[in-house]
Amino acid sequence: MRKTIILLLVLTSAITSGTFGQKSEQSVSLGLGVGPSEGSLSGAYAYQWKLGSNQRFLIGLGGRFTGYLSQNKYYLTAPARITSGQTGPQVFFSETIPENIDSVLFETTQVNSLNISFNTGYAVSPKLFIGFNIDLVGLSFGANQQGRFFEGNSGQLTSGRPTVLNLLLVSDNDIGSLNSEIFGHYRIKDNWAIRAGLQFLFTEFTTETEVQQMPEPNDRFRNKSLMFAAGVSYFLSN
Amino acid sequence: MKTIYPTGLIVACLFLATACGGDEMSSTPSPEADIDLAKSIVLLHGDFESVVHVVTGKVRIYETAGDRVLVLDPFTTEAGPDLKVYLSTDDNASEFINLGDLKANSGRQYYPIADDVALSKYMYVHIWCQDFTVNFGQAALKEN
Repeated sequence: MRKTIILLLVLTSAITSGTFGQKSEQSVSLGLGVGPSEGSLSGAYAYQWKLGSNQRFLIGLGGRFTGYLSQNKYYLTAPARITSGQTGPQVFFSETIPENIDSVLFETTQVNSLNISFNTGYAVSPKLFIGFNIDLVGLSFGANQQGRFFEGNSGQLTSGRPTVLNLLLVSDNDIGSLNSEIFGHYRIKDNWAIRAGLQFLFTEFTTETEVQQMPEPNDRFRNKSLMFAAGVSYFLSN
Repeated sequence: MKTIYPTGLIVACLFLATACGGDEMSSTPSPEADIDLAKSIVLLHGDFESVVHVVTGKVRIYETAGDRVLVLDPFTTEAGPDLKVYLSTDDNASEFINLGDLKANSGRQYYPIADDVALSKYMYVHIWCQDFTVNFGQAALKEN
């Protein structure tokens, strides 16, 4: 155990100090996502290594806070074992089973999540960079919200709060609230860039009871938002 | 208790106002199947009262030839998007049955009730804007 900890410390130190000879880049970003009756505010830190002979390809990790707010959004049955009748990577290729999908309509939602993120991208030119990032794992928090559960032609009042654990798996196997972006940024100064792109944000609520009973009890409901995103980045090191 | 976080306040200013209003429906009732109300029994009835928007008229639930049907007549409501006719357990529609899209903003209209619906449990009728969770108007049902 002690050897493992020492090895991790040495690796971390080596990577962050550039011992492997690769140049790196550190940045912080602020972003805003806007969609119909919804919006998000995000703040992120990214540490990326520059790879390749031209060091144009960047890859790394970071952390991101995302605050999401919406009105009148339907959250649909989340677990893959219900939506697709199976779990595992094959869910990505399987069809959704419509009769298994119920929904909860929340008048208002607020989901705050803090996640570790994966970041990558390519510097098209010294000023223009095309990138992609996605949350990997983290936690969410937010207030309890009242909603209406719909199952066919019947329904009932319910309430729920954001699912605490966030974990990226594959497709509907995902758990919790996870953000991802595809974006371009353009450097307006050495240390500043403006960025714009699309944000794909999953948010998930867990209802206070397993309001869905068929085909099996379920309390997890997910909303998928596609929003226009814009923001700024500041480079701590280039 | 609802908690509003600072990010919510910032993002909230981006939202457009969403009101359950607008004219998205014909004011003419659609044709109905032949139902002889004179030969039907009134099981329940009530008068609409406005809640968030103006709704007026009467609702009756008939039993006719072994089937049950909810009839709005006379009836008017303000226009709105995604209006439904709900049977519910209370004035907050805590548990509800959706009888379908509202067919017209005024005039007589019919809504069949499934055999497995226990009318003793659902003693309210609502004109309900589902997408925006707005109770336009409601009627408490009474036995005849």
